[in-house]
Amino acid sequence: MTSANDRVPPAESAAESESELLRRIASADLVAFEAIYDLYGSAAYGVALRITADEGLAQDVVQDAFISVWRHAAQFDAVRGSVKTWLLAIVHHRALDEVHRRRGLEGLPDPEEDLPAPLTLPDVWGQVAERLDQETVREAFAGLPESQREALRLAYYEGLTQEEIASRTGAPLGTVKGRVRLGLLGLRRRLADYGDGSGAEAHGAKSWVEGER
Amino acid sequence: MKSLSCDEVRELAVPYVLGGLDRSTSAAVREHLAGHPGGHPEFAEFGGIAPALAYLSDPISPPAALKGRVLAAAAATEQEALTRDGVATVASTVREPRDRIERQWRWQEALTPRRVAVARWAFAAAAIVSIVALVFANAALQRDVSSSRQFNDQMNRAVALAGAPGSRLAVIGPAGGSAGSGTSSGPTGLAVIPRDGPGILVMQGLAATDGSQVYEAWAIVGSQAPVPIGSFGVGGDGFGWLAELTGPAGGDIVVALTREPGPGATKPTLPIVASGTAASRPSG
Repeated sequence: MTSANDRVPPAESAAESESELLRRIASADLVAFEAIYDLYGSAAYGVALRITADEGLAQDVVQDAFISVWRHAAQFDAVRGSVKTWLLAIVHHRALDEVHRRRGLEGLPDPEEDLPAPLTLPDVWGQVAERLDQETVREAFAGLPESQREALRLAYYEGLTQEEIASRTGAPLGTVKGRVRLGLLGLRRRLADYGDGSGAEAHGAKSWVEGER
Repeated sequence: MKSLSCDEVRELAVPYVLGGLDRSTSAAVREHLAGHPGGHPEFAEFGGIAPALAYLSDPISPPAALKGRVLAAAAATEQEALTRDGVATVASTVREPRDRIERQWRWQEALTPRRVAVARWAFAAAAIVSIVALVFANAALQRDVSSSRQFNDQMNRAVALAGAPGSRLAVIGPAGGSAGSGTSSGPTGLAVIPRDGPGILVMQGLAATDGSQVYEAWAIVGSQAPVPIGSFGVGGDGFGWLAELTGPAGGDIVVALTREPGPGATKPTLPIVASGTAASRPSG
C-alpha cells in the first residue's frame, strides 16, 4: 500500500489534486474516497496505533476519522492546511477520546460532535508541510531538549494533562507548562527555518509565523 | 458550561491544541474563542504547529480488511442519508394535502354565501382529485422508501462482509472513467466477495429497467471471457443488488454490469455501464 511518505509530490499540484479529491468526496464519490484512503491510510493507522496501543481500537479510530472526512469534506479549506494534516488531526482527536474513555475520563464520543478544534484555526503547518517530510520533522524534533521532547510526547501521544505529566516526570507543574510551550515554539521555529530554505511560499509562511510573535 | 476569562483561556491554549483538556473545558474554550474572534493569537501560534507531532509516527499499513470496512461504512452512511431524505419526503407529502385543505377552507370561509357554495363544490372536487393523486404518489414514495430500506439492509451486510479477513472489495463506478463520478452523476456501488460463501453487489444510481430487461453482472479474470454471475432489475429509485454474488476464487476480478434485454445472457450484448476491480490483498 502506498503511504503518504512514499511520495512527496510538488506542493502546488499535490494541494490542487487533494482539493479536487475532497470536492469529489463532498459529492459522495467513493472512488475519490478510496484514493484518499490509499494515500493516507497508513499514516492515519500509524498515529492511531501509537496513541491507542491497541490494533482493534486503532482500526475503529481510523474508520471514524475517514468517515468524518467523508461527512465533512465540504468543510475542508485548503488554505488552512493539507488534507493529511486535517485527517491526522481528526485521528489524534478520536484516538485521545478512546484513550480518555478507557481511563474513565470521558463517555462515548458523539459521532456528530464538532471536528477537532485545530481545524478551525489558521494552519501555519499546512503551508510548509508540503515541503517537509517525516525525516525533517524528526530532525527538528530531535533538536529540542530531551525534557521538552518527553513533555510533548506525553501530551500528544498519551493524552496526559500537564498535571499528569508533572506527576509522571516528577517535575513541578510550572516547569512542565514551560517545557511544553517552549517545545512547541522550538519545533515551530525549526520547521519554519526548513521551510525558509525551500522557496518563496515557505518563506511567506515563516514571515507569517514571525509576524505573530 | 463554565465561563472562562481571557487569562484562563490563554493559559489553556497549549493543552487545548494538544488535546489535553476534558470535553467540557474544551467546549468552554471554544465558546470563549467564538466570542473573541482574533483575540487569542496564541491558539493559532500553537495550534498551527501541534499537528506536526503526528508526523513523528511511522506509517503502518493497516489490516487489508480495514479498507473494505471504511469504504462500505461510507457507502452505508450515504445510504442512510438517502433513506432519511426519502422518509422526510413522504412525511411532508402526506402532511401537505391536509395543510393545503385547511388553508383553502379558511380562504373559502371569507367568501360570500353564494360564492361559498360554488367555491365549496369546486374545492371539494379539487381536493378529491388532489388526494387521489397524492395517494398514488405517496404509495410510489412509500415503495421507494421500502426499497431504500431494503437496500440499506444489503449495504449493512456488505459492510459486515467487507470487514471479514480475505474479502475482496470492488468500488464500482461508471464505465468510461471514474473522474467526477458519484451518486449524482452515474451508477456507483460496491461488490464484496468474501473468502468463503456468497458475496454481495449493491448499486445505486442505475437507470430503471423496463419489461424483461435486467442488469447482468459479469466476472472477468485476466483476459478470460466474462462469466455471468447474476442479474437483477431496477426500479425508479435506481437501487439494485445481488444478494448471492459468487465470484471466481483468488486473484483480481473485474466486476462489470451490462443492461441486457432479458435474463440468461451468456455473454454481454450491450456496453458495460459500470465496473470495478475486486483486488486480492494480503490479509492482516
